[in-house]
Amino acid sequence: MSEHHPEPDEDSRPWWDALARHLLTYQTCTDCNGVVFYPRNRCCHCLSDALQWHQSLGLGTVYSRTLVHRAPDPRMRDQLPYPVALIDLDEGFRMMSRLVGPDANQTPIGARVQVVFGLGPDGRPLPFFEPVDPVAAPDKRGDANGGGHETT
Amino acid sequence: MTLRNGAAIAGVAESRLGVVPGATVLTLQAEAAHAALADAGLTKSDVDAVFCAGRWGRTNLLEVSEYLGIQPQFADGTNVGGASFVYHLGHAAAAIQAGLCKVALILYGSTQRSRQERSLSVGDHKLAFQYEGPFGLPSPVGGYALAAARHMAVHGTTRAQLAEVAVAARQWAALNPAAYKRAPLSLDDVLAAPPVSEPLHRLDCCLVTDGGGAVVVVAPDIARTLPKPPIWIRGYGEALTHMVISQMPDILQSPAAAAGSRAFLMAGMQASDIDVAQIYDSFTITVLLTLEALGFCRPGHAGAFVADGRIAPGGELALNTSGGGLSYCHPGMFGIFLIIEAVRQLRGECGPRQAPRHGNALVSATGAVLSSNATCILERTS
Ligand SMILES: [Zn+2]
Repeated sequence: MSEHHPEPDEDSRPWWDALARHLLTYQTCTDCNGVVFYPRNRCCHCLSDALQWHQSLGLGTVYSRTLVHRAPDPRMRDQLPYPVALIDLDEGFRMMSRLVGPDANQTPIGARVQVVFGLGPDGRPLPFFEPVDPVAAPDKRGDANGGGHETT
Repeated sequence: MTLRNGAAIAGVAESRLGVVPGATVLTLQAEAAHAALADAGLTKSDVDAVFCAGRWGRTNLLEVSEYLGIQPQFADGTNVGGASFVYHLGHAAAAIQAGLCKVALILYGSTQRSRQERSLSVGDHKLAFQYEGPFGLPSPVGGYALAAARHMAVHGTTRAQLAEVAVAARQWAALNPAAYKRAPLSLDDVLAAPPVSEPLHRLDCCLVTDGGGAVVVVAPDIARTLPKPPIWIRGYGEALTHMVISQMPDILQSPAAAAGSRAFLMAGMQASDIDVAQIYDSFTITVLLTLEALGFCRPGHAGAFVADGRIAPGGELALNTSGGGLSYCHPGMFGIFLIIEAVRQLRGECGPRQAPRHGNALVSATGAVLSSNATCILERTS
């Protein structure tokens, strides 16, 4: 039934292409300095087309989270229950993601997290987040640690 | 400019509700339309405007108008999720006041239960959904679960406080013969129900039923000629903030805050003036967030507000007196049923569930994932 695949378009193709190289990207507007996410061809603050791509450091805070017991995608049923979260990235944008790692199901709201790259249900690279190791945090970003967490 | 007293609700009705195998979305809407026009003391030939929304069909307005044999001179198919029908009410009042129509028919019908159409999927992972769909959040429950989890973390709200909303709804439903679920429900039942998207469990979630409804809105000169007392629109406001939950500016700030303040301003009223409230209860958390947004309590205090039977029959606030989407019916989109129950309460037609004070009623409908809200204040006397 619900085996959907992301459909990259002219706005999102650079974002998906960067993810394939284990880079999490976002945009800013050079006219109003607004941060833009998800990717757009016009600034959602001022409608300017002067948007620039940036690489995120992948560090953020859990804004909210839910432990999912009913998967909309049959390919994810064997992972239930799994935590889905909203992450506030330090650069000033919010995105949905999955929490991963050994303590993922217990990672609380407010926890500091870092991006790790895994695989979505269709095998496409996705940005997931795991709790920051308080000592090694800056060096343990997903794009620096050889691929990070992967899931199927 | 104000809509105040520029239009009145003259008729309301449901179709068959619950499990209606063999029905189509059109048969249910035709049933409800006929009954609502009869309730108003009007006939099909009086209708000159049609409003509808639904998850069926590509061109709902064309299909339902054709089926009913109505060629409206004004029509609106605004679709912002389950709140749509309260948007239609405001838009019908505006059109009537502008002289574009005189008798508006608002319609809804769904056979989602019998046809097993309900899905937890957002559908194709394209446009904004490509940034959420791959992470496996069930929709819409997952979006509301994220709001509930943050409300609990920030304000200390408990699952038991959320459960109070479901228990009170069931107590009201026990007094409503048309309600789908009427058997007694305890706090422990709600707490022990299987989790869907934590902290929301199955009984924090609205029903999945079939059903349809219709509302007839008329110009003041017509309203005054009809057999039943007109129910006047005193205040109206709407707001929308986002589609996907990750784009919601503040997940604890429902668009009901902006919509409600517009409606209260137009009405010259505040929450403490309201006798009866019909608030969309897609999930238990929706009621808490809406109560806070409308000013029935301070932000963060709705968990305590709904406790101790305050919203149950005999409590301080007559809230969701039909049993709501949690226990009365929920055919995919519930907004029209909020209006139907508010009108019946204002007319004093509700028998054992009749609210003791019923001079005015507030209807507040929230659509999609806390995305849209329309709030309308209705009154028995103009
Ligand atoms: Zn800008």
